[in-house]
Amino acid sequence: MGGLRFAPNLDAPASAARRDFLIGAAGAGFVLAFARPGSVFADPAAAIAASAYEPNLWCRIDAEGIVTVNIIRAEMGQHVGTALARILADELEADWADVRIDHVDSDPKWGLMVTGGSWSVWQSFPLLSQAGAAARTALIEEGAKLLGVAPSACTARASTVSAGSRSIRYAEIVRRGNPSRHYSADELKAMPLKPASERRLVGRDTQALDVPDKTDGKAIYGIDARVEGMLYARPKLPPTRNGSKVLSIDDAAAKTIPGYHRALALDDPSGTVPGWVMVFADSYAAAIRAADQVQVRWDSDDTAQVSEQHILDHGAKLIADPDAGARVFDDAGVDAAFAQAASLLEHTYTTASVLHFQLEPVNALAFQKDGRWEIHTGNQWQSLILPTLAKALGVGEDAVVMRTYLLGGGFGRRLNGDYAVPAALAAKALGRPVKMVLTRADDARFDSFRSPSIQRLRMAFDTAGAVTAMQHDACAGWPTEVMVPAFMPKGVNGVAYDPFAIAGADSWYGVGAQRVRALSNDLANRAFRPGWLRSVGPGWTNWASECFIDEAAHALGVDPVAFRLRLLDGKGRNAGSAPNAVGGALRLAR
Amino acid sequence: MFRRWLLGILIVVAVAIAGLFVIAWRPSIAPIDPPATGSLPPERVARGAVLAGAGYCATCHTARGGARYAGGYPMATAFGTIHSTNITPDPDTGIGRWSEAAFVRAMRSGVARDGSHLFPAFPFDHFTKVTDQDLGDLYAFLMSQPPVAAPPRQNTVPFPLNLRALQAGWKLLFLRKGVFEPDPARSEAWNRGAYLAEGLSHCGACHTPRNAVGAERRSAAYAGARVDGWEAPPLTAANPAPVPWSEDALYAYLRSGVSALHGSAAGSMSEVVHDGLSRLPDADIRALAVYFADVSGAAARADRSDAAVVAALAASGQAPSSASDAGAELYRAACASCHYNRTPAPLAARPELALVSALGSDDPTNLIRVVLEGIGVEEGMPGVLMPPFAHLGDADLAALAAYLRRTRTTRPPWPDLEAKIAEVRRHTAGT
Amino acid sequence: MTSLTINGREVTVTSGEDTPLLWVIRDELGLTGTKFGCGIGMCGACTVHVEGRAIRSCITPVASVAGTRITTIEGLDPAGAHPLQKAWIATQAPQCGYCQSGQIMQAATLLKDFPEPTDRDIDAVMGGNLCRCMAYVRIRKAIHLARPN
Repeated sequence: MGGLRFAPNLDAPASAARRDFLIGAAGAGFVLAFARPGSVFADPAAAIAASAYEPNLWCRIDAEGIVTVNIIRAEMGQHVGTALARILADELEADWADVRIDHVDSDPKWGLMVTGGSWSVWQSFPLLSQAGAAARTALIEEGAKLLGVAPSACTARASTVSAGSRSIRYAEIVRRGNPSRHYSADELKAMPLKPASERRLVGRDTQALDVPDKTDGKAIYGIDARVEGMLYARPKLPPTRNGSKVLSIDDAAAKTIPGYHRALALDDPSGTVPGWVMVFADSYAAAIRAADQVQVRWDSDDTAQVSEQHILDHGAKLIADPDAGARVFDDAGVDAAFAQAASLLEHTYTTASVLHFQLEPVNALAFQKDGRWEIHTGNQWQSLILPTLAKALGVGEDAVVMRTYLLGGGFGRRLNGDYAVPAALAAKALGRPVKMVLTRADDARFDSFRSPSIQRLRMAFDTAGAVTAMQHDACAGWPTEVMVPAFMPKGVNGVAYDPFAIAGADSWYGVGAQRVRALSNDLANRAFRPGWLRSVGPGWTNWASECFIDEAAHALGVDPVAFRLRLLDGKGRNAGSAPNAVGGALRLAR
Repeated sequence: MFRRWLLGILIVVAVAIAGLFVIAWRPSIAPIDPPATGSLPPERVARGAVLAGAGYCATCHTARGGARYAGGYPMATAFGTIHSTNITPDPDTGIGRWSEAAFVRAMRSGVARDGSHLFPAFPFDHFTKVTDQDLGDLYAFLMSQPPVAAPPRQNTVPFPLNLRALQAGWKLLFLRKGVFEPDPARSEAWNRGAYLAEGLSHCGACHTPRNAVGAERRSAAYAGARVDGWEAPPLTAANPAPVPWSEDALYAYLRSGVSALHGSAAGSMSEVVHDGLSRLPDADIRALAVYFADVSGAAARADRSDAAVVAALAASGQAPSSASDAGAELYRAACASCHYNRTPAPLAARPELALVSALGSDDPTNLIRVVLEGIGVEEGMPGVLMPPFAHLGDADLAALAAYLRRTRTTRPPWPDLEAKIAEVRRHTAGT
Repeated sequence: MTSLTINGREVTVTSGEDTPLLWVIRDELGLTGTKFGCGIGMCGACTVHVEGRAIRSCITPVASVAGTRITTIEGLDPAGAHPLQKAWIATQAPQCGYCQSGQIMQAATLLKDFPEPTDRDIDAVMGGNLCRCMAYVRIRKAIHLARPN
């Protein structure tokens, strides 16, 4: 079915032929690596050599038997490291007590670094399972050698290879053996995975590895990052997100605050934070106070006067134009069904702006070290902001690294890494490390919040009260258009749309001929930076469509549950299919 | 005709003024050499130390951050700001050259060693009731304190009120001299409490309202008054606390700074308890409690207590019903973690807002001040800190106060809360 | 200069007297387990103990705690094995974890005052400690689990 399930391809399209899996023994550790096109490990032979010095891709096993799984997803409360490590460790037959996770820093070798869309587990599952299975196979082969038996006589359980009454721990295999095995891409793909019935970790209760540090103060979040010699900074935020210029800065009153250094207008080649003024001090407490005392005059564009109501009014106007927007679905017969309908129903729904309000205000520490810019912050989409950081700093992407920290809440706020840019610009301007933290009020004002939305829903019925057609028009600010337009697919009329802002309009009900229009609210896009918040589109699309179904049942004089069950006929666009749904809409109706 | 009237009036006024100066004139008492260190009998000094606590002399005679007993503490009165004097034995700026007789005259009559009259901000109208023995012991204690050179600070009492001779007229009208006389019909504890309260502890100085010329109104003893930007609540049956102050509650409060059924001491009352009365033996605190339980008619109202506690605890865990009530939301987020209580009784460390006098009073000043300034870790119940909430805006604080008043008392709403909060904020910022 | 005792260690700090205790703890003393959430005493992330009782450090001037004993999450139990911490792990209470230091410090005062708390007690006392991940149900469960006896 042509639903709206959308996810980036974690494997680069051309990678299938070139993705090699390597196992090499080097120095103290036994290492695993995926070589990916375009990565530093493009050449398999070079990868083996390089792995002697570098931590490699998905896991490593040290001489003590500690299995460390590299996690490229951000930890923000979903215990993602534990979930991913369990996938690998299950196939590896590792003793869970020996498993550790490492939330790694940004590096091109990881490929796309993004945490969102509920993608992490299901997309990583095949990859990490195969990585675990390959490692297990190699360990069994090497263990068999050490035990002097055939690999086929061995089994692996709990980090131990056994043959009959004899066994050897993984740690000992790493210490005494020399495991080395090269798998072609095809071999890796053919790597047999355990049947689900053999899973010993996946699907069972396990304690999350990140939890203990979150109970005794040891967990380190972005806001806890520090480096010798750093200055603290708090911004003065301009009146508008996009169209402000600094006219003057008066810091006379701030000079009485002990620890205050200076206030500085940022020059941002990336255009991320136009009109920002940074206030610097020896301590963050002083920066908070000093920023309150610094007076800035700005010149701002017309968006300074834009309210939520203006955005909704503008959306209503766009929806009223039948030719506007992207036609995501446009079945034949929609217009005819409405023209011939025995009765019609139409309602308009609006939703308000919604802030992320993650408890840790956005922050970043930036400094240059050994010719490379280090950005220390919690972030959900390193691959998105790295090019922007490079542009802001005027350097190549290879000269910027993002150090990974726990996130004190994500909810989609940290998909948009705009907050890292001003810290980087400030560190560059001052020539010393800068730690920028936003206050709660600053964070709320600078939020990349969920756009207000306006939607018009229409339904056509025949004389028997059956639904013959439905049209769902949704207009909102589009985060994907503003931040990553390349992610936008095209509608059937050739107009690109934000898939996240319309997800959920692909009804799970059979509603006859369906038309879905996605409209970008350009006033919203200009007035603020629309953001992804949690499920994004379904936050408003499903709310509207379910309200609308109730209204339809009410208009027809039928029970709303009975009405829904009738429409769950497996013919809706989002009726659900394997492997992502078992039974889908039809199962719901049973 | 008119001229003759005028002349007559002038003559009368002139004679009156002259007469006043005659009446007002007091001789200077000869200076002495300050007593040598350790020359005063230690047992007298020790007894005096307790008495200085009973009178919490240091509370008024120590400026913020200044040396103890060196004066300079500003007292805002209706007649201008009066600064307390240096009562250390410094010969030039303190009382080092005062003989015991000079000291006793000052305490009893409000006249300094040099014969000048003292303002009645100094409560000689109470100290006149103190026995010779106690005054002598107090003298011994003060004269054995370390001398501190601290010149007097300029008062801002305007002319002609600053004419000290006028004080003589004031005293003619309002000062009733005479040592406290026990009431044989009362218990020993009651008489001891009354002696302390009416005398050295000068409770009426804050808790009794004053007349137009600053004298305590005897007909309204302990009816409550405003002092130093605080409301000193009534100590009579008019006290607004939902649970009448029993002898035990008074004892707990005066001894420890907190009563579980009434809340904790704040502002200058906290200093009275912790920096003054703390020197007194338990028996004296009990005596004060006995006396004030009688003043407030506690026994006759005791039957209300249980119902008040039940009502308070029912309200304490009340969840705000809707997010649209800003005051309720503020209470839930900022206050309940420390102030919530459950049955059967509130905890002293968790002052129960439904029971505190500040919420029941018709004057919201005390509630506003505590919220704005917090309660220090050594104030109220020692070890229990309330941080200041001055960073909240007037509108938010008004919503919070209105919510508490509405849900925790049966009293009418406070009018003009926002303006009142702004006023209190200005006042406290200036001190 | 303010002297205080933090997690059993006597220290003298140089932050200005009106500096909120939170920043002294985090930035001057480097104890980052105590978190900054709102800065106005409304979210509970900065909760520490002063003389054994929970307070919001973000609105408490450091001078007002001079001479007192302060405990942060790092000092609640030397081994991180306070009954509350064990219960927090047993119930897997934390999600992002950012609020949890404050939750645990507040819960410690709750149990001190009400050793056998009801849900109503927990909701009232813990209501000022916000969790944006909505871990409230597990936090409540953990508190019940941690109560003495």
